Amino acid sequence: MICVKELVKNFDDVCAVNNITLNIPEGEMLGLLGTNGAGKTTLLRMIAGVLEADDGSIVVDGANITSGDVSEEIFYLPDDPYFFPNASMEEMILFYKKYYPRMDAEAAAYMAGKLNLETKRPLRTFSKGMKRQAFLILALCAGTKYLLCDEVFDGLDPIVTEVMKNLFRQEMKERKFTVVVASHKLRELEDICHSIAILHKGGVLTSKDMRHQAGNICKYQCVFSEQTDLEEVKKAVDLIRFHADGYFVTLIVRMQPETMARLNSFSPVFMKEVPMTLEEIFIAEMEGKEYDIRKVLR
Amino acid sequence: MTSVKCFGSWLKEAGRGHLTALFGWTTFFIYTVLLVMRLSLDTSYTFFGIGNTVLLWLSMGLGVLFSFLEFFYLLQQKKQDFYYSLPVKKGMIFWSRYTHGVIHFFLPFLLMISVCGIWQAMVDPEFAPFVGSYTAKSILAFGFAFLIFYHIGILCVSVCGNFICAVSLCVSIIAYSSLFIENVIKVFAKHYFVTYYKIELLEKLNNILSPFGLAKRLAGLGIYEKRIALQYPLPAPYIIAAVVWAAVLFVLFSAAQKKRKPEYVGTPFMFRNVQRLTEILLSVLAGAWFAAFAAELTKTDSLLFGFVEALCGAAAAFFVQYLIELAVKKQGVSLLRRKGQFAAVSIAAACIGPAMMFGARFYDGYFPKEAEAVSVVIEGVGMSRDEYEMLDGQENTVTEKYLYRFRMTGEGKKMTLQWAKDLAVAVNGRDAEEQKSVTKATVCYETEGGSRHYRTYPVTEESLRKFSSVYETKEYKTLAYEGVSLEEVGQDKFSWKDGVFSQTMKIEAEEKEELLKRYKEDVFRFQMEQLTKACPCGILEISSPADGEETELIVYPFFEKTCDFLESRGIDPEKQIKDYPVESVEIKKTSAVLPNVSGGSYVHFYEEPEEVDQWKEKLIPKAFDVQQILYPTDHTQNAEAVVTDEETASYVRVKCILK
Repeated sequence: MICVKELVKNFDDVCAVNNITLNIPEGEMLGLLGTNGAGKTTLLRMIAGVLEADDGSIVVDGANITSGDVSEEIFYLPDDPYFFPNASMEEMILFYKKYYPRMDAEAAAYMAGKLNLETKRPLRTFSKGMKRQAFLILALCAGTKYLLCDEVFDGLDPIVTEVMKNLFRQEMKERKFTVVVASHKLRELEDICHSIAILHKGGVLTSKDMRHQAGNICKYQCVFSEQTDLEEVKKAVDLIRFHADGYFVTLIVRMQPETMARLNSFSPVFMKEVPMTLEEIFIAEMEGKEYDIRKVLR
Repeated sequence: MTSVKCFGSWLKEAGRGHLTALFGWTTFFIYTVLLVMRLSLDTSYTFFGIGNTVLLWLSMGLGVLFSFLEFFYLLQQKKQDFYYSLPVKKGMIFWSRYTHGVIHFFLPFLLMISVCGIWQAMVDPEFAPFVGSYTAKSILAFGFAFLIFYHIGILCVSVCGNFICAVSLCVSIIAYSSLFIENVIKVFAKHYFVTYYKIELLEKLNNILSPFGLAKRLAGLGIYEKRIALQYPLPAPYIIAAVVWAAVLFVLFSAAQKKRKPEYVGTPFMFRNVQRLTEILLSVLAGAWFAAFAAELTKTDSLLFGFVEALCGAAAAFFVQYLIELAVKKQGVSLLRRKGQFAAVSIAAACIGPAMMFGARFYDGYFPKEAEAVSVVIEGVGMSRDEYEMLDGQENTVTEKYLYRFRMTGEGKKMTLQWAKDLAVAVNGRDAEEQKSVTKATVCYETEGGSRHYRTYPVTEESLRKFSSVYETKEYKTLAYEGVSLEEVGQDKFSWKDGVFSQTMKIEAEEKEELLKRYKEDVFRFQMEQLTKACPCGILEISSPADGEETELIVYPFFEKTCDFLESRGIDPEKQIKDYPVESVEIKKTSAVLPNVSGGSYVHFYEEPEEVDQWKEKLIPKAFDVQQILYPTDHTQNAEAVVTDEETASYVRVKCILK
């Protein structure tokens, strides 16, 4: 388990990470969401031991990250990974095997073969997508307990993205390990991550917290009659979002004891509560917190 | 941590780039082959260790190159993230790289030195006794040269965040002290100190504070004689300085690598204090340099100009500080925010000139109460024209040679101190300026403890006359006329040169001793004033069969005992060039012309007997032109006389000067 407690990191006058507290349970895949400059990479680099925190602590399996005792259990995959000049995937596997003793070279070769990646070919000749796949294979096969991926799907076409997601899913099925994936696009993460944490003003909010906080927020799909004044409907409830398509209306409301009675007073032809998507929860939660959620929804 | 993460494993990883190994081994392999080839042909002037200029440049160059190759990852965020995210301590990566660089210099270097040492010992029996000491000293000297530059490079990469800044800092560290001493302190000293010749402390500081100067001293750069190179004693102060340099740099970069924060990679400096220190030092240097340049231009030491120079220095320091701030400032940070620093560097740069100006009275007023030894040289006294023309009042090889030669500890010292005291008093009272000096004297006072204080004084005609008190001492004459030190010349070969022809003297051993005895008596008897009345009439050359040394004894017409002896042996010491059948005289006059304009040289040939007779009266063989001040000659024209050798019926061309 990774316990991040009151973590602070400043770059001169810029506060990159501001008092973040976050627990990442074992076996979970956490999506780290935030706009550019939100501090995702900084947080990952600190967890990986590259950067030192100005304040706070990162404890992994009970050991402080600065002790170096758990660094063997963490694999950090940056958005633009480094490889030795002229090194092939095979050489990188051999290199990593020295430092990650559970590195599964055979599995890496197998996965590379499945994705048509030549392990003897210099990595510099690979396309961007191929490099990403190759390094994801290396990361997954390193056998570490924790995998930190930064913008791993950024700039990839949908097919490659799906291939890589499948690699994650497959590996998650086979062994229990914890993954933190940073991205600035919610859609890249929502179908693969167990939970999402959104970095907001240097602080963090997890989807679990939000689902909990959003417990009194409901989404209704209704059809009103021709005579119904929709403006009156809007005024009648504590409205978060309203969308009308002819007489078909979608409402996201903050529930109060009299909300249902007020809606029923307009005699809707049809009314049904539907589950909210993660995006809608984010929108509902973040819009009131001066955060332009649309930046991470595009 | 697993067992594979041992230092050795990382050492292998450090070699992954191969460039360091490639440069180290290739360079030394090629150089070994070249050296062995050269040693096979010549062992007299080929040095594989001390005295080898190329090897010194290689050591220093590879030091800097290796430091950047090995530690370049510190300037690359991507590579640094890669290394630092691995389960290996940052220190392990750093020190393995350090060791890797050291290994790939020292292994091929030691191999090269060993191969060359063994090879030279095989082909050169003279070298065999020195094979151990010379090789060991060479390893020490060039090893330190490498380490100093390697450490400088590592320090620069450790404290800087980008390549350009690291290279600039490296150049600054290497050149700073030399620039400061040579272009600031020495320029101000020449400008303000009337008696400035050189300051020994500055020379020592320059050799110790400048990495290049220190490396040069260690490696014995400038040694061309094999005997000196083989016996070169590595000076202890330089060894200590090299150890201190290497150790201090080591401590600094060790601390820097621990404290540097990876997030600052890409910025000019990793540490604010280093940035500040660099800004201050460079700004002060630039300001003081500019002030010194202004002082050189104005060539006046008045208070007003001193003030203007100080202002120039302050402005330049301010401007350079502004430029550096502009280059390294972070976004959003306003320029000129460090007003105190701007003021401090400007004041510091402005103060150096005035400080030297006010220090001049102490410098020029120096005169030692006691001296262990004194060396003195008067420009033009006892010097050939060629030597005299090389003098320009500054430090030069001719003055150095004469200072070394005329080092006196006895009677000569006492008389020189008395004579120099008058000069020093005159300088401080500016009497010499009023009376117009005819030449300059450079005096070196060697005080207790071995420290040397050099002063140059203007010499007026009167003080030149008074120099006879020094000149006529036995000690000075012994040094000025090296023939008087000769002993047991019975087996030596004596030749007489009258400036035109040379003839071997066929005399017995006792006669040779008698001639030398007479010469000594003449030398010790004559007065300096006599040198103003005549030029030499010949040179007695004594060649020793024991060591092949040739000593030239200058003979003047007033050396009566010597001349009488020569006459008694059939040599006419009064015979001059005019007494020979001169066929023609060639007079060459050279005048300055504008650049890219041909001409400037005019040659006139005189072949008519009347013209020749007229010119030959004025001719003096160039070899006799040894008293530029006491017996001045006309150097605006060069002459060449064609003399008939009646014995062989051939012509001899004799280079001359005009009376």
